[in-house]
Amino acid sequence: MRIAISTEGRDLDKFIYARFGHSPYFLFCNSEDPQGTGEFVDNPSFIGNVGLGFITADFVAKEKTEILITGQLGINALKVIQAMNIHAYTAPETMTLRPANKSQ
Amino acid sequence: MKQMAIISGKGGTGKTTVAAAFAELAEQMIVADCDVEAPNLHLVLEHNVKADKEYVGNQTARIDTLLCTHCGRCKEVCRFEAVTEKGLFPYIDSKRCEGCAACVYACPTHAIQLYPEGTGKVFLSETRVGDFAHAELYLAADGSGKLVAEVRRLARDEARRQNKSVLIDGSPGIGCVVISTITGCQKVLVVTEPSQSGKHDLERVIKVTGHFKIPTQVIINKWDINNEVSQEIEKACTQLEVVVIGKIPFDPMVPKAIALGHPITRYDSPAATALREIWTKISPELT
Repeated sequence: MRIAISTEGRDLDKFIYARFGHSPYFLFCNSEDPQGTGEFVDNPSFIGNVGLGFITADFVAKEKTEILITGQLGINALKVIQAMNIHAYTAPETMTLRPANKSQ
Repeated sequence: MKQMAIISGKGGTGKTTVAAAFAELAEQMIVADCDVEAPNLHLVLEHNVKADKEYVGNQTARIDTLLCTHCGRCKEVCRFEAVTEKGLFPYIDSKRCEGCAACVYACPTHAIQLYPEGTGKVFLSETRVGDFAHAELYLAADGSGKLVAEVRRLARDEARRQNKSVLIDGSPGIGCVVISTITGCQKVLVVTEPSQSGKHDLERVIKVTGHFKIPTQVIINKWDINNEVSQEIEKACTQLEVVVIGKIPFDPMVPKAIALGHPITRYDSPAATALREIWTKISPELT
């Protein structure tokens, strides 16, 4: 299953980013081999100012995400995530990507 | 590392007064002013700016006149009417340009590029209680929510490094700036006042904190100027399952303290007493 995690940096020691729409990067990986298949992608909505929730959710959905791990989903982003049947889990900002990866 | 935000719904209810009071009473805390459009915590919190940096929150297009062939395609595709003239050449008005890049793609000679545009300034200051992150959005600039996220990031990084908690003075309203202010917080305090608009906006902002399931408590400021509406607010809070953690009486010393540039808790007055009481209830949760 394909997993997306919102993060503040391109490194497994970076923290999960709380605000889904504002998240600078996402880590995509497959649940069968999270460490091996991880790839960092820039959030395309990051340069914009309006509708970040919609744009980010659309971007994550287009990457065929089935599971999303983030801090908090705003009202706009939530609509898209729910419509695309993506399972979303919340994780605290104190968690780095390594344990988040392992708990899959 | 805990984070607590003070918001209000309606503006002018006393967020900054409460935030400054708590900053004065706390021993160690990272403080953040997330009202980036009209910041005023810095007016009552003694501080020294130790670093400032421009925040690049947007992009604006610029035409290279050496490559321009005057075809006019950029003007045709621009939805924001940003293409005007300067001298004999087309010129992009950066106040109208939204950085959408339609002209960048449309230009047949690739004469247009996007350049970073500063949208505000971020400051890191020192106060008695700890570091203080604040910012100012440039006039008419876009992306206030993003600038708030930058202030949050600055405060959070310092809090992690120094192992302290964060006290956030927020913006009024329920929009992007408020959402950016509260996400990731363990507790939100809503400061309201006993007026119909105060009550109405309180109920709206509780819907926002409710969406994010952040524990929320209410402070009724200037409660005794209208006891009837204060009671209506307390009833509404009970129905919404939100605790009223304290009530501050109307106190003419408050505007005097603000005029002197001091937190109210530096003085001996009814409002200061009420705030100290509220602080003793809240501060254990912030350590």
